[in-house]
Formats: sequence, C-alpha cells, structure tokens
Amino acid sequence: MITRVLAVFERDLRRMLRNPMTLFGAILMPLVYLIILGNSLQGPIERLPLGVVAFDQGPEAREFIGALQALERGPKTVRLVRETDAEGALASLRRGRLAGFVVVPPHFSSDLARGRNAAIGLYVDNVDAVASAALVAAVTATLPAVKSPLARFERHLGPAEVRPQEIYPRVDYDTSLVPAVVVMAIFIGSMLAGGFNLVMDRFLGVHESYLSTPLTRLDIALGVLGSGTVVTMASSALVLSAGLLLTGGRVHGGPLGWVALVLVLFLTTFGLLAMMMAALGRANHPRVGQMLGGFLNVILFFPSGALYPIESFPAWLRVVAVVDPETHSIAALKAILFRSGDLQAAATSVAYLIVFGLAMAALAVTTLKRTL
Amino acid sequence: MSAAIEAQKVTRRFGDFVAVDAVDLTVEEGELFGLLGPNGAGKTTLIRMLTGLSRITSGEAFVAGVDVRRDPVALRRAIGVVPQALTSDLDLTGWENLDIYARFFEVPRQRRRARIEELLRRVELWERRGDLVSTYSGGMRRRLEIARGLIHRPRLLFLDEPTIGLDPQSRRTIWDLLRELHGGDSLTISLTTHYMDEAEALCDRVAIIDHGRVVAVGSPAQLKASVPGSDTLDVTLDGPASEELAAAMGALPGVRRIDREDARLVVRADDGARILPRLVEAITREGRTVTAAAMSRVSLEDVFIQITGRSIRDGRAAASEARRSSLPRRFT
Repeated sequence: MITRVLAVFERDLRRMLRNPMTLFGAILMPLVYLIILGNSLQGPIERLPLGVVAFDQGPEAREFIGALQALERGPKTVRLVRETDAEGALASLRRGRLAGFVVVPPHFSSDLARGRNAAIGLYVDNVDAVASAALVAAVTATLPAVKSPLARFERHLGPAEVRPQEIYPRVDYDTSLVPAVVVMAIFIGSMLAGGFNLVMDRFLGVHESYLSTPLTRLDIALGVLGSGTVVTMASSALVLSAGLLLTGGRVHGGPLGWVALVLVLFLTTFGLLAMMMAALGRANHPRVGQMLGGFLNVILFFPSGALYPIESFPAWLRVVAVVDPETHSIAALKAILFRSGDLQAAATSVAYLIVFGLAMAALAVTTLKRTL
Repeated sequence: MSAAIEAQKVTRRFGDFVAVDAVDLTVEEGELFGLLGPNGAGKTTLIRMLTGLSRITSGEAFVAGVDVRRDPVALRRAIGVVPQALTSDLDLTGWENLDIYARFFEVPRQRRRARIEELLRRVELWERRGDLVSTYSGGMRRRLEIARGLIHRPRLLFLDEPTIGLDPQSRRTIWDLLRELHGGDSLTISLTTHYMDEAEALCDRVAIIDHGRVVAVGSPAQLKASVPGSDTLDVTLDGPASEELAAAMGALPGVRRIDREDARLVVRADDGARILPRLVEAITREGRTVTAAAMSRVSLEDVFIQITGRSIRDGRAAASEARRSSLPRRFT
C-alpha cells in the first residue's frame, strides 16, 4: 500500500512542481492581499473637506470653530472650507466638493449663555457611510471644547488623561495581517493542490485509469492529501517568510516557537486540504471547483477576524467565526508571532485545529471512497 | 483453449434504462476479439463491467479466470486497460508515466526499469522517453497508454476505441502494434470500436452489439458470409441493358439478385469471383459487349445493415440526436 500511496504522492508533487506559474500565483496572491489590504484598510481617515457656515461670532461659536481648526491642524481629520451661506454649501456637498458642512446659527452663543439649548447643524454626505460616520464623530467630539475652558477655570480641575499600556511589542496593521495572509496562502494552496487537482483528475478520467490498477480509493485519497500538504506547507512558509520580511515581524519563543509555528501551519494545511477534498468529493467539473472555492474563501476568510475584530460581528456571524478553522488558525498564529511566544494562548486554537483536521480527514476519506 | 472472458446474462440497468441486456459472451485465450457497434450501443458499459469499473446489475462474468464481482483486486492485476480518454499525465515524461503505473502494480524496482525500457522501445517512444507527454502527438500518447496498459504483463488487454480521433497514419501504427502484441505475444485482446474497417482488419472474431444486446458473433468472414449475395458485381455494357437480358442473367446459378440501370447491371452473388467470368460469357453470347466490370465484397458495414436494418453511421447519428434531444432547448 505504501508503494502505491507514494506513487500517487510523487505523481501529484511532480505535476505541481512542473506548473511553477500556478505555485507562483498561490504565493503571490496572498502577498498582494497583504500589500493591498494593509494599505487600503488601515489608518485614520484624514482631510475630509468640511464646509463651515458661521452666522454667529459670539464666544461659544468662536470656541467651536477654534476646536474645528484644532482638528484640522492636529489629527487632520478635516480640511475646513469657509462657506458664506448654507445653500452654496449644500450645492457643494451635492457636487461632492464637500464631505459635509456645519451651520452655526445666529443665536448660538447667546442661547447657550442664557442656558437654552442650542444646536449646530451638521450636513453629511451619508452615501459614504464610513466617511460620514467619521465626520459626525469628529465634529461631535469638539463640542465639549465649547464650555470646558470655563469649567476648568471655575473648578480649578486638572486635566484627566488615559495612558494606554501595551503588554506586547507594538503590532502595526500591516504586521497584524501576516497571520491572515498566511492562512489565505494555505487556503489557496489547499484549493489548488487538493480540490482542483482532484476535480481535474476526475474530469479527465485519470481516476478511472487509476481504478483499473490495484490502486484503492484510500490510496488515492492519502496520496493527494500527502502531496497537497507538502506543497501547501512549502508555499505558506514562503508567504510567511516574505510577510515577516516585508513587515519586520519575527517569530518569538525560540525553537519552541518555531516548532509551534510549523505545527499550526501543518494542522491548518491538513484540515483545510481535507475539508476541500470532502467538499469537492462529488464535483465532476472544474467550474464547480472554482465556484465552491470562491464561496468557501468568502465564508471562511472574512468571519475569521482576519481583517476586523470578531467582537464587532452580529451574533450569528460570531457563531460562524467560532466554528471557522481559519479563526483558530489566525488566533494561534497571532499568539505565536505577536504574544512574545506565549504558546499557552494558542493551546485552545491548536486543540480545535486537531479536532477539525481529524474530522475533515475522516469525512474526506468517507466521501472519496463513495465518489471516486 | 480456455476462456479469457466468460459472460453469462450480464445486465446493467440505470433506473429503468437497460444499457446492457443479458449479454452472453465467450472470448478464448489468445483471441483478438472486437466489440463492434454504434455509439450508445452499450459497448463501453459492457467493458466497464468486465474490467470491474462498473457494477454488474445481474448475471455473472469471469475474466482471466477471476470472478469479476468477487475479486476486483485480482481482476485488476490480471488485466490491462487502455481507456478511450487519453489519461496520461501531460506534465510527466513518458518514462515517468510508466514508472508511476508500474508502482501502482508494485512492480519491483529492478524489473521496473527493464520493463519500461522494453515497452518504450516497443511502442517506438524510447527516444522521446525524457520528454514531457504534453509534447507528444495524439498517436504517441495512445501508444504510450498501450504501453502503460501492458506494464504489469497482463493476461488480457482491454482497449476502448484505441484509434478514435487519430490520423490514418497513426491508426495504422496502432494497428501494427496490436497485431504484433496479438501475433507475437499471443496476448488476448478485447477491442471496442465503431470503425468497421478496424474490426475487419484486426479481429479474429467480432461481436456486434446494438441497443445493449449482442446481435451477432463470429469471425469477420463468417459474418460476411451470413449475408445472402455477399459479393456485388457491377457490369457496364455497350448500351442500355434490356429487361430480357437482365432476366437471363438473373437466371444464372449463384446469382441472388440483379438490378438494371441504363447500361449497368448490378448483380448480387454468393461467390462473385466464380460468377463474373460466366456472366461476361453469357452477356457476350447474347451479342452484347462488356465495357467495364468491377467486383466488391460485402463489408461488416453491410453485415451491420443486414442485422440491424440501419447503418452504423445512422446509429451514431441517432445516438447523438438522442443526446441532443435530451438536453434543454437552450443548449441545443
């Protein structure tokens, strides 16, 4: 049996190695993701053009506009544009020259001085939800400045502040994407080495030729699983190395950290490859493989917390995240790479990956025994 | 002689559709046996059952002495299969393709190298052994796959439409190879084809299969002899043939049928070579001159028409039409 399994293993390995463009794509695509995502999703929103229409020159109104100017010069969230009237500002907003504008009404300061409610109008282009939310948050945050100097003067209070203390070395957004990119490389590798190879061989009648020899379905499944694991682990290791090189990250925890890293890469590869083989066990046309591959990528990658914290998800998506193997793989890799080699933090995730891998391998073998 | 293939009432159903209907078949050791029939006749399904790739719904079959239903592993070790689709790996060399399959059969390393070399030389691919199969022509790939089917020295080789899609020269090369394997090595070969000339040129015996049933079995000569008036004589006269002349010629012994067409007489006879001189002599006696004469022998195509009432090409067209009509309109 070993001879037969090794023959399938070697055949698949040779085929993959003789298609360097496919392998190159499997490595390059996750790295492109790292660069594109790293630069498109990270960082504060800056220089949103905000129109200012001021009908009041009183002290509170000046205080408010001063706070906006501080926002423009400090965090640079907004770029202030003087407007003379609300109609003109609205027209500019509609034409896309402004992201929003504020209107300070004529009696703003005097109403506040008399203890009445006074409101500043903020008009936003809410088509871009993220930019408009950022603008509302930034403008709202300036309001306390209208009264705070007076409050400090009357009560003689010192300014309170929060000093964040990070317990691990600083991880910037680019670096934080490395585990996600490695997991994506494993997914793509599994799809190419396991899923697509299996579907193409069935489509071309290769399995039928195999099964007219003493080769069993189990031999085929184990051979494909073995060759796919080797190729996918190698490509993901290259992606990890390039990712760490690009971001300046490093593996913590000494030799044990490296062992843990290889273990997580292996478990993730094995689990995703077996899952792919089980999912594509019945597919008999390459188009089905492509469609299913794209679908699985979306439902596994985005809920994994790779790009955004799971805590922000609705309840149903959190359930998806909990069973998603990529969630656990990313969590384990983050623990090894970013938590100074705190391997205990990865223990639960590693345990889940072991269970997931065994379950998927059993499912793949059972499925392929029936469908090959 | 013992039987290499012994099938009794072998049937394959797919739901209500009967693809192979109670087929009885015996192929002797050392025979080159042809399964002939149009596409969709059930040839490939029958072969798939005999090679253990498809379940037998009912009936029983023994191939190379192995009960197909009971011992699939022993069956696979005893037979070689060359499928219709070209399945050799394009990204591997010719040598590597054979090496991988030899390992599937667990051929020991020392014997493996010698066997691969022997086969590559035999199929005239030795010089190209190190080239990727993607650089091979269709004929070369087919030869490689025949070599692949022989890698473990099987007792019986199944070939499914081995020359489909090949140019005439490549077809001839494959024919020569099969003749050599059959004649030189006394290998039992089961050949599936819908090419009449191929079956006629290669096979010791042929089974004609239609609508899942074996409708005739015999050597090509026996099958052709079973058609009354198996030879056709086409005689051209110096002027229009009269009805009386045609009637007189039709009365000659051995003439089965005569048709008159202007200056031509088309005569169907059992033994054309013997009848032709007599026919010319009788026509001359009637004061007429024969300006041209030709004789053609009945082909397996004629046998097929005689047995099934339609030509094999009609059958192929009908099969493809049936497939088309089963598709939704937007795909047709």
